[in-house]
Amino acid sequence: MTPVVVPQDLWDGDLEGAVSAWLFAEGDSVRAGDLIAEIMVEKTTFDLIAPAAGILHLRVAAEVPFKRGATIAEIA
Amino acid sequence: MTAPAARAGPAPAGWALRVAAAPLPAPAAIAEDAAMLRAVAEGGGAVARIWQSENCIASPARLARSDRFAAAARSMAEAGWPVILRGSGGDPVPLAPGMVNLSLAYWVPLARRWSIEDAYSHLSGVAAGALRSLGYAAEIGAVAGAFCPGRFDLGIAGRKVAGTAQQRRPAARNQAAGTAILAHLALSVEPDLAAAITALRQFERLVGRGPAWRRNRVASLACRREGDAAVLPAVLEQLRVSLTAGPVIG
Repeated sequence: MTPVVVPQDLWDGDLEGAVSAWLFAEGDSVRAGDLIAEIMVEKTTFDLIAPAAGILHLRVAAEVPFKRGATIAEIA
Repeated sequence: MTAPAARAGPAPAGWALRVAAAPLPAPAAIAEDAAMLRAVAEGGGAVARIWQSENCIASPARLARSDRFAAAARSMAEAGWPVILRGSGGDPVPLAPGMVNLSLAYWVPLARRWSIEDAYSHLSGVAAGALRSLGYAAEIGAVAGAFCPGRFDLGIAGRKVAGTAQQRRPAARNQAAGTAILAHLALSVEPDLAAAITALRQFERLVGRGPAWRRNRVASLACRREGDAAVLPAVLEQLRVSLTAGPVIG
């Protein structure tokens, strides 16, 4: 299982980000390097890339806030 | 609030600077920002662009998922304010002749730890430096009550004159992990601000977003210094000077 982690150093401090769009659905097959989600924080869009190939399991729904470093999905 | 000071960056070759002398058609103007980010993600060097657009509403792409978006975009196009989607964050904003945009695209290695705040501090610092050199008391920080608010906006006397946004994309280079960054800023120099505000209000109403900002919290440089006919060319020149005087990022 490969965690999909929001980079710890993407932003400073205690701001919260959120997935503005999941580009694959729960259970979809993804390839390493696929753009799987857009994260929004501080008027910034961050394109989140699949770190591995496999089946995507979402751990955070769109628009639900999280801290930097959070695991928001896993790839099995 | 006072924004944190920008961290000093390394100083490699220099920005590849593109300056558009006249307002560009809106779709092409915004597409070029996207192309800059793509080019940097694919290994290109740091690029800076100073540009203006014909009238449009620049909207984050996520709004296109609204059920009301298509009809709203049609109405706005008929009104002469086409809605152009872009990948960066924030809220919809009007762009128009007399609004000067500064777009920076560059790549940083992950080891550099160039955060969102660092990128904003650098970008807003360039613009603030340009304005201060022209005698404007520009401050970096949130302007309460302005549209598309952000911590790295530029304000003068409590009214927003510039806003910022970013788009970031993971991009490896020579087997080193890194990030391609597009950071852009729109500065109201001498647009028809009343028309731009009215258009933004109309779009927000059409897509079902309530106005969460006040007209009197935004301003242009021309509002601040009426009768100064030379303000636009002076700002263009000082942005160039301020940008090239500082470090190149990436």
